[in-house]
Amino acid sequence: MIFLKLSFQVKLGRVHREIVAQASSAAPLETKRGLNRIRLFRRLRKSFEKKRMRILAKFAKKERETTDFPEFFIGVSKQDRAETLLSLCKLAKAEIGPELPEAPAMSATQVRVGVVIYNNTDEQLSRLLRSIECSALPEHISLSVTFFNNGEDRPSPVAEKLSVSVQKSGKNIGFGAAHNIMMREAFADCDYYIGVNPDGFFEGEAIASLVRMSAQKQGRALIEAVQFPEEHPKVYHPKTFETNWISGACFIYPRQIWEELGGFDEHFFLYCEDVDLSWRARVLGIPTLTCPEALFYHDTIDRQGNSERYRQMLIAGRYLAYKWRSDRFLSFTENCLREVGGNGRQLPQLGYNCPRMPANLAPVNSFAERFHFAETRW
Amino acid sequence: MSDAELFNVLIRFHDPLQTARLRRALLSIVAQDHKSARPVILLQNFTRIQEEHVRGLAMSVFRIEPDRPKPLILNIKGEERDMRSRLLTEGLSIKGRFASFLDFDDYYYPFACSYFAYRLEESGAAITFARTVGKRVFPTGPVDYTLDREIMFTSQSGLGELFKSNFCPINSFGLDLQRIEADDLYFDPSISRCEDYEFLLRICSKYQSDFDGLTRAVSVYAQRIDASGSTNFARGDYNPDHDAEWEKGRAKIDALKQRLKSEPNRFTPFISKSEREAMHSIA
Repeated sequence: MIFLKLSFQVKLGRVHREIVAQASSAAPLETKRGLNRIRLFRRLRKSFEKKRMRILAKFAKKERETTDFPEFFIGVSKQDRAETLLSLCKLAKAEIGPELPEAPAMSATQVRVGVVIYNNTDEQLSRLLRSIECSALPEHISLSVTFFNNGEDRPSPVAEKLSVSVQKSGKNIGFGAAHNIMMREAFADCDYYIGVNPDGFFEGEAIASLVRMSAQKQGRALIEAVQFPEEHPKVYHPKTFETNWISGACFIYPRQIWEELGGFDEHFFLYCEDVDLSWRARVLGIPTLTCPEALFYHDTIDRQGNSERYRQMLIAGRYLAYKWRSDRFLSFTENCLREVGGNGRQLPQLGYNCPRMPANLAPVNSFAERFHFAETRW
Repeated sequence: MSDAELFNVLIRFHDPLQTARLRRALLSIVAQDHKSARPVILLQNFTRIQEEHVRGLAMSVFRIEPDRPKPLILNIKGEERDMRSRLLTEGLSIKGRFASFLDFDDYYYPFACSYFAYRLEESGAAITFARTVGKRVFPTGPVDYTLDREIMFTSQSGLGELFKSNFCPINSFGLDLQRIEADDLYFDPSISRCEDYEFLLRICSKYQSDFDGLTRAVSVYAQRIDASGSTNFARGDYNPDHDAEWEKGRAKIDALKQRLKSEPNRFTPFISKSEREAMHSIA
């Protein structure tokens, strides 16, 4: 704590002097100089937050064991706590910062956003497209959008109006297969592919955050956005951002991984293909990460109770269990399918043409939490 | 769309460094099913640059829904250290059909405003209540890491329970402004703690309230476990004066409850006869 305070005060002193020097000539936030002020502010806050998080993480475990709020402060005096927070507050108020040299130009980055649509409304699609259009992107990122229509063949005025390319299959070929077609095409000239569901939309900085994080990992990570307003309960590490699998609702896929891993297993029609892809990546040592700064608005709150959706999930879960050799989960999904399928309804066949993973991959796969496929926070 | 049809969501925003959280709250409003939902951001003593920054942020979030009512930003200047009551009162004076409150670090589910509006129209009440999901989070930079979640105060419901204690966070109710007299639409400026409870007691004592909507959670209340979201630490400067402000707020509530016990109002059926008689004898 003392170290934290000292190092922080040194930094604060420097910041403070710079603020005083610049305060009288504050540039509007929209100008380049204004943007530099914001960058400085963000950088400093990040640096402070890292230290702050170490302290918090230390107490988080203890805190989880108790519901009594003051217990959280065991070992930290009120005064220390207050001073730490005061420091943070002062730092954050360093809104008016100094001129910084321009950040080194990053190489041009081509990003393709791929959307699998299935009888979505024009309202949904236009909202998603507007969110892409309004995204705050650094100059070096250029964006293109493709739709793959798995639904009825009807004109999409929104796509036509905004010159979005639309591919059609004439039938529903499944979620993973449609993304694979779009990815194959995208990686002919793009560095990243962002797969996104049509019934959500991006928060303004989400795309930039996903690309930034992926670039930081040298394109060797599968990364998902956080869904909002209700995020998935699966655990991700608050510091390394590692998680057991990434959701297909909004993810970024670098070309390097496409070349190494390929795309989705097309035996999955809908659901669980993202879990399978993530686990295959992890077998190869490719981390699967959550990007907490990337918010993807995706309302999943009222989804329970849809029996066809549940059935599709069970079918996908059954294949996942077969592929990853979980006999217990296989029998669980088959029992559930019998219950929802009614009399005489046959289960889809699992046979020689369905690939299976080697046994003993337990550290990668996880069926203990059933359809969460990971330890959950709640 | 005329102002009279608007659903104003009042957001008090007092700390310029918290724009990431404000952005999240705005995102939850732009995604509302209710097409007339409009954020009204109430700033406290912001500089011109800070105000413009917030305006730019709000407009950028609402660019994805160009046909929706544009966010309204009010920057209110004053001498007081904590102007929460004044800010909220100013917000309530803005024209609109419905109003609700959202803390800048919390957010709504997409059906929140339509649910409030539906419950108010269905019940004919002036105020309607829904549940709130409490998420315990710790801040990791500009975003929060959620540790767990649960629906708050599930064991409490109804006017009688509300009289005993406040189980209704400020994010959990909506108002029909047409059914409340303008003179009653204020937060007590003499207190900066428990002001929401004082408001609820006063409104519910006089106007019809609807608790049937408590079957559904419509908002998320982020409880930051490092206490940075609590009033005593909100500006980072722990100060025993805050305790005094709490005491002042509680005293105000006690006095109001005593008054409500001694005169007939909508809480009266829920107050025991012995308590009422005790109050009469004191009077």
